[in-house]
Amino acid sequence: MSNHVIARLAAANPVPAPVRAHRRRSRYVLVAAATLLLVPAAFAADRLLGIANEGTSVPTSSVLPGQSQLDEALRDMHVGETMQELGTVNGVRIYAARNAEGQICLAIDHVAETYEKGVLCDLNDPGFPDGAKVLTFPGQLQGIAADGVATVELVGAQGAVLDSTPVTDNLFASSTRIGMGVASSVVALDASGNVVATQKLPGA
Amino acid sequence: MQRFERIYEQHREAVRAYVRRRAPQSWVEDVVEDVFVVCLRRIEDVPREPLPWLYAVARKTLANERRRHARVAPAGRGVAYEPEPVGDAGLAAAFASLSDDDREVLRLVAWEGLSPREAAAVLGCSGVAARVRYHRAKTRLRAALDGAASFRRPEPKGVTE
Repeated sequence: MSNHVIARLAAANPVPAPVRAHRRRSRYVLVAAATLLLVPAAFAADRLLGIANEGTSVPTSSVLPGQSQLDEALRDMHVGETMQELGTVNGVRIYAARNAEGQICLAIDHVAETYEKGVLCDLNDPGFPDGAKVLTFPGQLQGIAADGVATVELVGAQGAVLDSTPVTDNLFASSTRIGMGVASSVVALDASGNVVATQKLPGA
Repeated sequence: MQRFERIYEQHREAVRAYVRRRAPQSWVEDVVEDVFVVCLRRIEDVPREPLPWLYAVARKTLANERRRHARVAPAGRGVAYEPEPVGDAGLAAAFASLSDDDREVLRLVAWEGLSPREAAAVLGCSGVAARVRYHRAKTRLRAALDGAASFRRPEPKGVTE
């Protein structure tokens, strides 16, 4: 209960921490009508993705048809012939796979639109789900969360919650676009509202 | 020398933030510089995890700086300025009502992100003592917040330690 006090005090930090929070290793590539994001991952070799939602296997070539740059990016990131289709939430279809290096890669497709598609690989070691608890695009909450995460939030440098969205079957997709470089961290909360992880976003 | 450079590169921003959370902006660069001068002179004493040690040096340096300013400040002029929690008037009022010791251990955990054990290295006490101080300070802050009913707002999210 009194940990709420500490969370409240942390949110009121007059000089937010510059280095203590773990910074996720990342790389971005922007392509026309799509976002390619390489974010830092750890991995449990005994599990396909390391989360309860393992999805169903589909050919990688069918994930983002017509998106040659993203197809090429998936190849560059050594994603194999299949990905797991995890489901659709808030109009966003989400796929995941482990690449040849064992890193988790995501692909998202806004099913009702011809843009806003993207791919992402977690390059951290350890990474998702043992290190990072959330893999998301930094400008908008869209991605996957580890088991036990019920809500994810984008938080600004001053501690203000910029966006919050629920997690269903390890998936989340907010319709609110915050924009790149605005949020400084992503926070994962359990069903009781306790913070289970705070991850610095690339460039924060 | 390589080790000092590594420590400086990795931790100077954290030390600067630590000082900025406790002192006016005009003090920050001088205090940070003093901290790393001490670090360089005592590089053999710096532990493997240097940050709590650097904070401890910064804490002592700040105390010296406050004493120096207190001596030169005109009578009646306050010199014990320290930044307060921002954006939360109820919390700021409750926090200000705590003792210096309570505020410091809470800052170390909530703002520097240290565990109570790491905070012990800064405070110069045992891990058990730091944990007790932390929990008591937390309880007192909670009580102070509960007392400020007019500032109550929906409970924020908690954190795990």
